[in-house]
Amino acid sequence: MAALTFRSVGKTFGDTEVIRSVDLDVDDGEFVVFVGPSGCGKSTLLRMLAGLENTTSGTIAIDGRDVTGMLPIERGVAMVFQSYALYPHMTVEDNIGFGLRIAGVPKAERQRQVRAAAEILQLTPYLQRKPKALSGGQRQRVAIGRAIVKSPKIFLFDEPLSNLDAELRVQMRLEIAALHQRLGATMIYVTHDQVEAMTLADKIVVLRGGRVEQVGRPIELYEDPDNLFVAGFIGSPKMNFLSATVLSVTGKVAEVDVPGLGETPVFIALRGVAAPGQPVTLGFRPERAAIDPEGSIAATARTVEQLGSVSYVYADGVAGASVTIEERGHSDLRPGEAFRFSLDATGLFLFDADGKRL
Amino acid sequence: MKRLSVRTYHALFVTPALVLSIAIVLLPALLTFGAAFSNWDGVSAPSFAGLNNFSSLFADPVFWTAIANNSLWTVIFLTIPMGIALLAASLLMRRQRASAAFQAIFLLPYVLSPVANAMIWQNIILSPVSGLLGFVSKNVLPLQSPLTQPETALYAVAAVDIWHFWGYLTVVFFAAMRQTPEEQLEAALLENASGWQVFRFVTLPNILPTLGLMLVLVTIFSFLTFDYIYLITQGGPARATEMLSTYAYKFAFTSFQVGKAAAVALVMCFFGLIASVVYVRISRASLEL
Amino acid sequence: MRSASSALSRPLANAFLAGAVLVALLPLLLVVINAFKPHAAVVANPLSLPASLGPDNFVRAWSGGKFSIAIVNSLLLSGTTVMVTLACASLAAFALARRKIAGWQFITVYFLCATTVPIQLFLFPLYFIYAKLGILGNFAGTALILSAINLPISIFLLRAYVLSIPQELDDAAFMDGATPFQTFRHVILPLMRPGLITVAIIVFLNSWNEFLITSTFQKGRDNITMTLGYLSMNGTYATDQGALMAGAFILIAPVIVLFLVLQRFFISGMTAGAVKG
Ligand SMILES: Nc1ncnc2c1ncn2[C@@H]1O[C@H](COP(=O)(O)OP(=O)(O)OP(=O)(O)O)[C@@H](O)[C@H]1O
Ligand SMILES: [Mg+2]
Repeated sequence: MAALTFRSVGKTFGDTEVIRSVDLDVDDGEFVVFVGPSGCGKSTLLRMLAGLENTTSGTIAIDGRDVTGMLPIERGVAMVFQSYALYPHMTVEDNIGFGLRIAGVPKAERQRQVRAAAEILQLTPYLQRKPKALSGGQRQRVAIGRAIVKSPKIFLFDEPLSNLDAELRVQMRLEIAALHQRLGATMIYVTHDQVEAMTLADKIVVLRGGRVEQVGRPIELYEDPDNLFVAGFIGSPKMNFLSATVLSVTGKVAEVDVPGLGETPVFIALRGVAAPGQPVTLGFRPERAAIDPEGSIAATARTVEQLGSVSYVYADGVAGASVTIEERGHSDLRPGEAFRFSLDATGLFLFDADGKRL
Repeated sequence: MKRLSVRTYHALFVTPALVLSIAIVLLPALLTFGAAFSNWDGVSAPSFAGLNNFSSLFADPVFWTAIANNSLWTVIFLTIPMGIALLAASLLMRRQRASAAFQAIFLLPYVLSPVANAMIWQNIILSPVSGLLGFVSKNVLPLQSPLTQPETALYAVAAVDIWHFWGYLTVVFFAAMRQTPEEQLEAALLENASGWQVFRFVTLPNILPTLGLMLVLVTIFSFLTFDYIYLITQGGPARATEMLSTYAYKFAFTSFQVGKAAAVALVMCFFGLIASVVYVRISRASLEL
Repeated sequence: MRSASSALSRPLANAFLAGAVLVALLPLLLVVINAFKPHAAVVANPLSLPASLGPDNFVRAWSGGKFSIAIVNSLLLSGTTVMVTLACASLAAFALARRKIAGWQFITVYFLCATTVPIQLFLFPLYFIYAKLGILGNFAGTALILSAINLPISIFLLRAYVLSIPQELDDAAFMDGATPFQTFRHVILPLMRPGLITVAIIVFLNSWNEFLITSTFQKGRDNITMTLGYLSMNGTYATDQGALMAGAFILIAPVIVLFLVLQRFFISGMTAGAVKG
C-alpha cells in the first residue's frame, strides 16, 4: 500500500492558483525530493501535506487514510523548517519535548524519549542549552530531534540545509541520509539544490507553476527527461539546447538539420512521433560531446573552467549557437582557440515547440 | 470532541478586548451623540430636543470664551514645549553618554500625577503665602499671584502643564533624532556645517514624521485639556481659564444638563477629529495595513 | 567660523541644559526639604533647609490624606487595571498580528481610532450607566474603564512584539499539537515578556496617576485613591504646608523610585509609537 497519495490536489490563495491538480504516489520508506524553480509551490505542497495549509480541492491520504482536513498531529507527520523554528526561550530538551508535553506525556517518559532522540543526534551534551548557544548544525539537529520524538510516519523537510555553509551542508546531507537508513521512515524533502536532490532521493518530483512536470528516480530524470523543462532543470551545467528542423522521419529515427552544429544532419532515435518540416529543439548534455580533431563540428572556445577532475569548455558554435562541453581532466584549450568536437548519437534528445519530448 | 478551528481561536482572542472597548467606549460614545440632541438630566427619561442644546451653547458667551481659551492653549503648546523639546533633544545628541541621566530627570515631572504636580505648584511655588512666589514678593519685589489675575491665570496654568509635559516631547524627539543615519551627520560635519545647519538640513528632515505626529497629538490633547485646569483654577478666575472640558464637566455634574455636556463634548471631539483623521492617515502607512 | 561659534555655543548649551535640569527638579526639591519643616518655617523661607528630619509631618499627612484606606484602593485599582489590560491586550495583539480573522483590518483601525478618543466622548453617559448599575465607587468597575482606555496603546505596543516573532514558531507549535491558546501561552507570551513589562509599568503609572475618571467614579470616603486622598487635604491643610509637602512626598516618592528602576522599559514603550524603528 502506498504510504502517501495525492489525488487531484489543488490550492488557491484568493484568486491565484498555486497548486494545480497534483497526483502523486509515495511508497512506504521512500525518500522523495520536491524540486523546482522558486515560487513553483514546493513549500505550499509540503505545508498542505503537513496540515499547515488547508487543501482547496482533492484528497491527501496517508496509509490509505484520508487526512485532508486533519490536524498535523492526527496525520502522523513531523516537519523540519528552513529556519529551524526552535523556541528561543526553551532549552534543547524542552524544544524536543514540547510536543510530548502538549500531548500530556509524563515527565519521566518524556525525558526518556528526548534523551533517546538526543543520543541518535549526538545532542546529549547540549540538552540544557538554549538555541542561541548552539551552532547552525546543532540547531539543525535539534529541529530534526523535535521531529524524531514524534515517531512520525512521514518526515517533512523544507529546505533544511539552506541556512548552512557549504561544508556543513555536505555533512548534514550525509547525516540525513543515514537517518533515513536507520529509521526507515518515509521522508519528503524540498530543496533547491541539485546535488541534494540527486544524492538523497529515491524519487524526484519536479514541479513547475504548481504542476508536476515529471516524477522518477534521479537517474531516470537525468537520462530520460519527459520534457525540455525537466531536461534543463536537472543536471549541472545545464543541458545544451539548439534549435533545429526535422528533415525526414524513417521509422523511429528522425533526420534533423541543426544549424548550430554545421551542415551535417543529425540522426536521433524518437520516443514519439515527429513530422518533416517541424521546428524542434535538440538537446545534449555536456558530457555527451567530446573534443575531437576529427570531429564534424567546429566551435571557438569562449571560457574554460578547470575543476581538476573535469573541465568545462563554454564555446561559440556556428550560426550564433552556444554550447558547453565537458572534458575529462585538464583541458588544453585556451579562450579564443578554435577546435572541433563530435557528439555521442545515443545522448541526443528532441523536443517539440511546446517542450514535449519527441 | 472536535477541536475548534484556528480562526475560531483567534476570533476568541480579540473578543475580550473588543467587548471591553465597545461596552466602555463605543456604546457610551454613541449615547453621547444621542444625548447631545436630547434634554437629559442623567436620571429621568431623555426627551428629544433637536438642535436646542447647540443653539443655546452658541448663544452662550462662555462657550466662545472656552473656544478662545482652548485655541490659545493650542497655540501655546504647539510652540513653547515644542521649541524647548527640540532644542533640548538636539543638545542631548552631542552628549550621548550623559543623555540617559538627562532623560530620566526631564521625564520625572511627566511620570508624576497631575494631582501631585498641581498641588505642589499651587502651594510651594505660586502661593502668595507659602510659596516661592510669596517669598520673592515679601523679600525682593512685590508680585501678585498670577493665578488670581484673569489676564495671567491661563499662562500660569499652562506653565505648570508645560513643566509636566515638555520632558515627554524631549524624549520622543531624542529617540527620533537618534535614528538619524550616522553617515549623514558625519558628512555634514565634514562640510563644516554649523550646529544650526546640521539641525536644519540633517536632523529635521529625519524627524519630520515624528514631529508631525507630535503636532497632531498636541493639537488633539489641547482641545481636551482638563486635569491641570480643573485642579488649579476650575476655570476661574472669572472664566479666564474656562475650557470646553471644564465647561462640559460642570454641565454634567453641577447642573445635570447632560444633553448640553454631550453637545460640548461633540464640539471638543470635532476639533480632535480633524487632527485624528490626519493622525490615522499617518499611522496607517506605518502599520502595514 | 565653526570653531568660534561652537566655542561660544558650548557654554550656552550647557547653561540651557543646567537650567532645564534645575526647572525640572526644583519643585521636587522644594517638596523634599519642606516635607520636614513646620508650617512657619515654610512660610518664612521655602528655600531653607530643614532643622531636623522628624516624621511629624508625615504622620499628620498620612491620616489627613486617609492614606491607609487610599493605598489599598489605589493598589487594587491599578493592579486590576494592569491585569485586565495585559490579559485582553496580549491576546488581541496576537490575533491582530497574525491576521487570521476576517475583518482584522477593520478591528485594527477601530483600535487605532480608539487610541486618541477623548474621554469626554463617553464619560457622561457612562457615569449615569454606572450610577444606574450601582457600581460607582467600585474599584473593579473603575478598573474596567481605565483598562478600556489603556487597551489600544497596549495592543499596538504588544502587536509590534508579536510581529517580531516569526510565524514559523506558530507553525512549529501547531505541528507539535498545540492549540492556538497553548501556542499563545507557551510560545508567544514568554517571548513578549519585555513588552509585557513595558505595558505593565506604563498602565500602572497611568492608572495610579489618573485624575478625570478616578475622581468622577471613585466617589465616597471609602473609595478614595492616593491622589484623591491627597487632593482632599488641599483646602483644610492650607495652614499646614509641612504636612502638605509630606503628603506630596508620600505620593510621588514610590512613583519616582519605580520609574528610575524601570525607566528603560518606560522610555522604550513611550517612544515606540512615535518613532519608526
Ligand atoms: N499565504 C499566501 N498567500 C498568497 N500567495 C501565497 C501564499 N503563500 C505562498 N503564496 C504563493 O504561492 C506560490 C508558491 O509558493 P511556495 O512558497 O510554495 O513556493 P516555493 O516553491 O516553496 O518557493 P521557494 O523555492 O522560493 O521556497 C508563490 O507564488 C507564492 O507567492
Ligand atoms: Mg519554499
